Amino acid sequence: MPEPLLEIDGLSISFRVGGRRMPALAEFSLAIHAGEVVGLVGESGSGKSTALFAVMNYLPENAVVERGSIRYRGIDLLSADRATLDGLRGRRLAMVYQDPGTALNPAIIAGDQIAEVLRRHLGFDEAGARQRTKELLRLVEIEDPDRVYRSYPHQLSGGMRQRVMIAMALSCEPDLLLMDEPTTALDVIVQAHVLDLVRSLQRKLRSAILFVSHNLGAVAAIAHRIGVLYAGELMELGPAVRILGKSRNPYTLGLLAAVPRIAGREAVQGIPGAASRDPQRFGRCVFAERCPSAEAICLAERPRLLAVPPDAAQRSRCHFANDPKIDRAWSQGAAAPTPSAQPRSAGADLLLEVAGLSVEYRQGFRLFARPALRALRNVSFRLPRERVLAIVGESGSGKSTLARAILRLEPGASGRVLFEGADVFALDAAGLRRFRRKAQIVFQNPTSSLNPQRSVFELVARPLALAAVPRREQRDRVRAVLAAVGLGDLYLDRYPRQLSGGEKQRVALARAFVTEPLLVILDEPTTALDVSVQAAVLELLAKEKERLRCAYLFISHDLAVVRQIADEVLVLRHGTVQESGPIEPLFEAPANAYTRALIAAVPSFSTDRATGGSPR
Amino acid sequence: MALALLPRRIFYGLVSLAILSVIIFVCTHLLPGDAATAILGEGATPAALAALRARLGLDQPAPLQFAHWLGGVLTGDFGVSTTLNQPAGPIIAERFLNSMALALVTIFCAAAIAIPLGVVAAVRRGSRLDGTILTASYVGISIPDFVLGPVLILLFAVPPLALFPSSGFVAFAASPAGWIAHLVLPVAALTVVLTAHLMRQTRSGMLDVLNSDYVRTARLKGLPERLVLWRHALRNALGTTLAVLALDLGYLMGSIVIIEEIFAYPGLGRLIVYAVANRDIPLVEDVALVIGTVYVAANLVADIAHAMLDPRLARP
Repeated sequence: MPEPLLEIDGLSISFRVGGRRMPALAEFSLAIHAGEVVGLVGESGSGKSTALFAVMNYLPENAVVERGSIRYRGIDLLSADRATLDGLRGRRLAMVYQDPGTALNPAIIAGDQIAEVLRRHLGFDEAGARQRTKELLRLVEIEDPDRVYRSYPHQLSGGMRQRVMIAMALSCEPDLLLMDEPTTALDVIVQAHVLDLVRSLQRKLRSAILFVSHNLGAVAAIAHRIGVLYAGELMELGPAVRILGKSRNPYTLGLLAAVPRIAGREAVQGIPGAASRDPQRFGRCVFAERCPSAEAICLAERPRLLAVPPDAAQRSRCHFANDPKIDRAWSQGAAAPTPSAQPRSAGADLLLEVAGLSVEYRQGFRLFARPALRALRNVSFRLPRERVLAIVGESGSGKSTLARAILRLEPGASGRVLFEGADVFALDAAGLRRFRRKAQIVFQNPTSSLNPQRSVFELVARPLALAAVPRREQRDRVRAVLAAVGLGDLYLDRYPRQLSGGEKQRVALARAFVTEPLLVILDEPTTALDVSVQAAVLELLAKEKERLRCAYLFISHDLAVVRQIADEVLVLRHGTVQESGPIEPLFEAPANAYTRALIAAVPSFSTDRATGGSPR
Repeated sequence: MALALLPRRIFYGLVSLAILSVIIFVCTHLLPGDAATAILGEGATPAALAALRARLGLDQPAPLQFAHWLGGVLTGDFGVSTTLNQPAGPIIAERFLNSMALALVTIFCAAAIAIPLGVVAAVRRGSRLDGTILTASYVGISIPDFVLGPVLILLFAVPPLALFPSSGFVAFAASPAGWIAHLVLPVAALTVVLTAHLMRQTRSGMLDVLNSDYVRTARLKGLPERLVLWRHALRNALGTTLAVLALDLGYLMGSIVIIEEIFAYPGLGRLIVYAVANRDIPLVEDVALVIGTVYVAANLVADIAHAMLDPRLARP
């Protein structure tokens, strides 16, 4: 085998936090060869971005490299001086970032930001750099390079900005492209286009790529080899086909089981618990406490990366990597797929009816008024009891506006919202209070929607206190609902900062469920969560729906998640309904072109064990 | 947004000034005693007072007096100073130019000192140099200008040093050197506070920018630090600094009242102190309105400066 292009060897990095050293990455080794695409998958806190920025020798100030080295063609990057790094960065090693909105300089036109790299590294003069930049913009499939060249970043869409970033990164035809969640901040259709673009450019330019993402689907779509990181430890590494289809690691297997599939309604299964942050965790298996196959040795001894037959191309960090028992580990707990509700005669037990709902935002004051912005146009639907209606659409489609309008939180709303037959827009103050007890909302980000000054008990009991429920009864009901969302009495006196993201979202759900509502509006309830936690929250939602016999309005941009939970779907775009109907026919044979594009854009991959699977 | 909003900003500025003019007028008329009493003194006969009131228009209803005053100001007639018996316009114009000279020289000095220091402090954050600059700025902010003025006089205007005149003014046309010499100490006193404030603004603005994603991008493009700072960081950091600078012009309009009095500098500040002390109502009203206008104009300039430096505002 030829010399690798990049060799990360035994890299350990920790962060100084308040006088303590918190390890983030343990003895991480990875070699990347010329022209190879390696994907690193991991949930939050897995150390994937730390590894990536270490390659650029651009770690936060409080980072400490404890051990290890990173060599690019024999140059030790971690001890290189700034001049050496300046010669490599942008020239041999180039980077694409998660958020192209903040990664481009707002005060400089897009084209000049690319031309600058050409002038710096390849000695172009001003005119030559401009010329070449426009060619690069054409290369990343931008149709009007002249306009984009002259545009400031804020004048470009998210997808355009990321193309500009990619053009910039590729401008010097680098040996290695480092991509940090390059599609995460983009809408699903744009995400698919950018992935296609990167794949075709890689074939053309033959740059090696290190692609870091939490999205297994995105990584599967592009990587030749995949590394799976967990809590700072490389759990498994191998050819993409084998990691996705023949994983020999309980964490990878759990992650694969947790990913919702667009193809059909299958059981998604969460991994219980949260990733360990214990500074001592590298003395054992970091996954031991969440692993269904764990035995005494897992807590006593750090597993080595074991070669998985037939060859050493695939290696798994598990004491039982070659023990057939790990194949059965997750199947034991697998729940049956949530059944789709039976079609019922509509109207018989109708809960919510929305008719001709529009929302306008007035811009400017009266004297200088400009035409109103129509965020929502003439939306109508009916939601029976105990059903789940999903509202799907990209950012700016009006999904969240719709949710707020239904709860009468949008002053510019017109049309009709009937809840149990009563007109919500006509309710008096007392009626509105009663309505809001029966219709609850859960937001995307539990960190900002939970008051950090209140304990879990106070947070969850708040709707009851507002409804003047006696104190003793409050306690009992809060306990019951916390138990239902999988949090014990232990949590009553904790504060949000002491909880993980998944636990916070469970508290937010408990707060919504505690009044025993008839309708819960879930606004992207799992988007801020890791995939293994997301699966657990989806299970919980299905269970609570059965228990409370309530209906959900489930707002999401993620069609794979929607497929797992919804009975009916309504597709929104620019505030208008594109298509709506029962989920199965709509997903199998979408009539609307936009719906088809949305579904096709979801990155998917096969894990079919019989055939070994293949990245699509 | 911003540039498209310019007509709106100007409109609101004018509304503010209209409200200010009403407040000034009401306040001066709520003062005990009127201009006639002030001029003739306590012992004046009622007949003499009535005659003077009629001559000054003080016997007319208040709204009419207000309309008369504001109409005059809008057409360039600032009325007559009751104590100096001269048209107020030319007096104010001369003092206004003196004060603007003081303010603009101060702003220029403060910017020339504060911006480089703020940038250096941010770039070398946490260093001893940063600590020194920060501490000095705390000291600068903490010293009131009415203390600093006399201290400067004691240090530099009296023997043994006696480098600069302690008070007074020489017209630029008469003696440019004398004009500068008389400006040095008042400008120094005003600059200290302003520099401290501006330096901290620049430092924190620059720190934000240095931690931004686009500065990371610039570094990871392989640009040397010099280019990262000059081309990528400074432009974004200075937007807020320059806007603050324009606002400071408004702040200075308040400070000069004290500093001009200390250094006996013939500007608007000293004029308004004189006018208030001598119950020269027309002069009080006019000067207050002029200072208010400078303040509003400074805010407007701040908005425009910000918009021009940030393409997100200039070109939506």
